[in-house]
Amino acid sequence: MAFEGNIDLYRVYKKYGENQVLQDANLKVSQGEFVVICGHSGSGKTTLLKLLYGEEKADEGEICIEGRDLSRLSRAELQAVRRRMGIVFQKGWLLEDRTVFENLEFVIKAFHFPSWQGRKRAFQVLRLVGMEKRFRCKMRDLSGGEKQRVAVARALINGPSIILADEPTAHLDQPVAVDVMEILELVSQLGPTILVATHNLASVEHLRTKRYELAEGRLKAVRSSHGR
Amino acid sequence: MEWEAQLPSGRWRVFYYAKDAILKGGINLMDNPVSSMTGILILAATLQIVGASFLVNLNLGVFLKRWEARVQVVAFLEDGVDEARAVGLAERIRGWEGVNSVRLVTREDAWDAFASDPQGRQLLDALGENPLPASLEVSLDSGDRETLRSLSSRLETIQEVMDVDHGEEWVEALYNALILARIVSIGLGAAVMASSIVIVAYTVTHAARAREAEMILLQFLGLPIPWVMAPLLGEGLWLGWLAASAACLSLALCFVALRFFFPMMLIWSWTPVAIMYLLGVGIGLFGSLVSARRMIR
Repeated sequence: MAFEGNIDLYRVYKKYGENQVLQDANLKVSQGEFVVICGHSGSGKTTLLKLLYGEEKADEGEICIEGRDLSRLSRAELQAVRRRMGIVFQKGWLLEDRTVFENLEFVIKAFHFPSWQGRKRAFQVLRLVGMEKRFRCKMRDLSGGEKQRVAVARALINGPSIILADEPTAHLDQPVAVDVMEILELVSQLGPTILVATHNLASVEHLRTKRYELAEGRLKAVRSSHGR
Repeated sequence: MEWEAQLPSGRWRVFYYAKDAILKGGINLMDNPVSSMTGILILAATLQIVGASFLVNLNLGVFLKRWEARVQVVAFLEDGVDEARAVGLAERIRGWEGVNSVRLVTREDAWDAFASDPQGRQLLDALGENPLPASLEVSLDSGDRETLRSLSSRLETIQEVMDVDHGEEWVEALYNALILARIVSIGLGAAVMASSIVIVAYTVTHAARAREAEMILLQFLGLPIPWVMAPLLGEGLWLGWLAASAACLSLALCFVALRFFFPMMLIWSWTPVAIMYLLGVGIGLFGSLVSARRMIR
């Protein structure tokens, strides 16, 4: 696919009542890039991600995922675009009453992956996020950092070309937050485009990422310490 | 890295969704036994009211038809009318439209009939002379109000007729009772049905809340929306079907019990059973659809 992993926002506007959340927002992310959107709470990061995975619609402008304008897609086509994404939600949406493995198995079954391949795949991604030894643990027994690792593993299991992560380090201690971000950086080396929205700048300071700041509805590129 | 989702496709997809809806819907219903049972019982009570009112209407209708078939207009003749004139009059009336038969009851016949009752006999003995008039008992093809009225009016115009007794008050009262019963049952049915839709929607929404994370995930994993909604729709379907079954069983038991006391008077019909199942499944599906649509983003 020529546009695999590409994300394009062109002059996007979004308003909730009188609150202009996005204003002439422009963004271009190419395949395999690791992009961080920074901004304080309420700056519109979550809205931006919701626009990207189609939960919200832009008032104006164009949002293209892998070359496909989301505003022109039917519901079924939008679902097909979502199947190529992995999403780490701010709320987590983890199945708390189930084990780590069952959380991944839920996705495997939903996608009708063959069970033995699915199990193999689940352990691969659990190993990648360092949770392979805790696969039998119930979600409710895990720490915040471990839960986020499982959330990342779950977002990876269907082999997405784009991963969107909304505040994956919220409520985590700094060392744990850095761990989670390092895992995402590791994942980005495997090929998918990664777009992370966070207010925790310190957790991405040391990473090789492309950074944008979202303030007053506008996206501004920020030069990172690594020069990317 | 890439792994294509292997989702069901082609024409068999619908059957796959249906199978999934029924299986997962049933499991979901059992996962929340208290709210499921509450929903089923409330919907069953609603359906039973609808079914019972339909059955009552049906029985009232049949009762009215039977009563109409037996309806008679009695024309009492003047004292001076002899038997030959009365027979002639009966022949004339027999030829009228809407008249099925005419029977002449002479003064003697009336006396004999009245005297067959011991108390009547005592009364007649005390009176001495036969005070009872001769009469014509006119049976109608149809005992509806219009025929009854027009025939009574026509009989009253005959010179030899002293008085006409057509029991119109009874027919009127019966018709009014039937109309009232229908209005009450329709009103009651509509009200309970509207409330039961809300209750079913609430029950399914409550159940759906428990699986909100699953539904959110399935949507954002990009699964087809019918597939995401299928278990909820299945749950509504099960709920409606179980409620209808409970309502039918309960209605049938009530009917059998009532029939034990009034063996000849009650009529069973499968139509309310079909209506209850259609309504139950319809309300269940509608309620779950309302709640499922709220969860789709």
